Amino acid sequence: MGMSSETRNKPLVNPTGEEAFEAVFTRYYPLVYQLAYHCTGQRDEADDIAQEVFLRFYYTPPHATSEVERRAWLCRVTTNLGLNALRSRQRRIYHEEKASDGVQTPTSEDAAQLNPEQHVIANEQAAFIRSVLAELPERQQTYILLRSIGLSYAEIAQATGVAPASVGSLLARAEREFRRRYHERATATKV
Amino acid sequence: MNELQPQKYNDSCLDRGLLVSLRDGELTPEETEKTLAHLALCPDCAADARGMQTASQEVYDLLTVLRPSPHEIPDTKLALSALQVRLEVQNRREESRTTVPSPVLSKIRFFQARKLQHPGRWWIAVAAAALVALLVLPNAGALANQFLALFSVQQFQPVSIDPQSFRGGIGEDLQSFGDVSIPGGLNDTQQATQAQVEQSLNFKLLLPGHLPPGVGHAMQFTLINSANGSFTFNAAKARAYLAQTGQSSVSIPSQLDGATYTITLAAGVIINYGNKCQQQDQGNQGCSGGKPFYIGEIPSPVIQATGKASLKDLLDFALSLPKLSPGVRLLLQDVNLNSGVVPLPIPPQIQAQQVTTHGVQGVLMTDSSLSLGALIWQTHGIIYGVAGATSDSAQLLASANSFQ
Repeated sequence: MGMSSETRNKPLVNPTGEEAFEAVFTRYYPLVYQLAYHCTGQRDEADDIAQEVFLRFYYTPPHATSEVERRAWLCRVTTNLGLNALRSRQRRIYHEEKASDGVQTPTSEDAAQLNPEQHVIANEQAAFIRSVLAELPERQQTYILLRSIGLSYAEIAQATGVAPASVGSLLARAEREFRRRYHERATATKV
Repeated sequence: MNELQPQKYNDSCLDRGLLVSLRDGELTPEETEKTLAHLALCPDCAADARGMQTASQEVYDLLTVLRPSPHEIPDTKLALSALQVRLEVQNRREESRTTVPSPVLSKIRFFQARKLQHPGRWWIAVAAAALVALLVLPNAGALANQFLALFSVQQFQPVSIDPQSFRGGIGEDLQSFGDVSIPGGLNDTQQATQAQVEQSLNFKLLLPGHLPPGVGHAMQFTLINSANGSFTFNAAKARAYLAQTGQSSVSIPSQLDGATYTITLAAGVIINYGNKCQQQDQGNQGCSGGKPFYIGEIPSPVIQATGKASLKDLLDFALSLPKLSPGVRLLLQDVNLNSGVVPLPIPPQIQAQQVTTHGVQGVLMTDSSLSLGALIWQTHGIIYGVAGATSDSAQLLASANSFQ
């Protein structure tokens, strides 16, 4: 179940050149942005994070010997920055809610495709899911997020530093924990 | 038996990690075959696999609400351009730390080395062009006294230009026509403290009371140290250069030979805002987090023409060069010696408008495709500017108005 030797030994373009950097950016920016957006739900913040990830890639490129490693590196850095932003947001919301006696203002996002009512509902639902995600142990948040955007086990292993053979079990735990907390919170909210 | 094994079952039952791996197609063919064989024979595990499949599906279905809709994903090319702007800015800051003299000298060589093939680089071009305008162009004072001109910007005027028109110009490097001397060099002090900055400035440091949303409130100060420089026209050097570039027909006014122009720059400051800025002893990494945002406060440079020639003579000579790039020619022609207006080059993708702030006219420039914007104005001899990753004119103006 490990990374195949063909993948691992796939030759790479030297990432130091401008053109090679642009190629990496063009290839991975949508993925990085989407991952950041999963964490933050804010376009500006997601874009800031994506830009920061590629700045880091530019100045201190990883010693990647395969596309799997490179993609995993980008996803790891994005997840770290994104989850940090999510945690900060949750802390802020917690304090704001405390200050305003539980009244929470939905985050504003692009409503081009939704009417105002749908927009608020979608925002509230996304904010709720993010708050459940933020409650999980950090590594479990990472496993779920990386899997949800389609990373392979080899890439998840590379990004998180665990053995590829362990990823299935770790994902199973994380999914179960997420589901348990989601239902707990959903039930409590209804009550 | 562990927590991932189905309860009540024996040790031969499959754990959920294996089932999840099967679901995700991450098992080897041998593992897949073995697992499927077990499921075919073990109704408990088969039921568990179905239950797990349903539960997992629910998790990932819930997570789909976190995805951005396709129209929310920024255009990759625009994002790349925005990143290139940031890299340019950072690279220039790196250069300014590692090379002597400072970037101001390189800006004297105005458009010669500008590469405008990337739309995002308008930012650099505008900054460079503005500085060039400040450094080499005279104002009303030049007319008042043909031999002594005290430079002070009265007003900025946006001038539409085509970036392509700056390419290929020959004769735009002052050093080709004489000698540039900057005793002591030009330099800036990265990561100065606010106290150091206030002590070094000969004017009151103003700070914005309002920052656009998303801009961090931590500040990093870069002190632009005061400096003096001079340019002495050398007719022999200029003649050789003109011959070399096929412009031998240009006549050099005799009064230009040996004419000296001095420039005095008083200390100024550039402030970078972010969520977190490195302290003085933590290396120089600038600010991170939040929308990039900068403000600048730089006294208008003072240019003095000494000797036989005036600033107007130099300007006229520059305009007489047949191979001057059209863009530079346009800018030079737009200098209004009577009113002291300094042109600001505006590429086509930039929206520029004149606005009033602090009772004077400034120029607001925005690029909505890249979400970049800047506002520059001059009052009481100080050139102020705000610039950042926002094209919201109201926010930029609000920041400018809140300087106090």
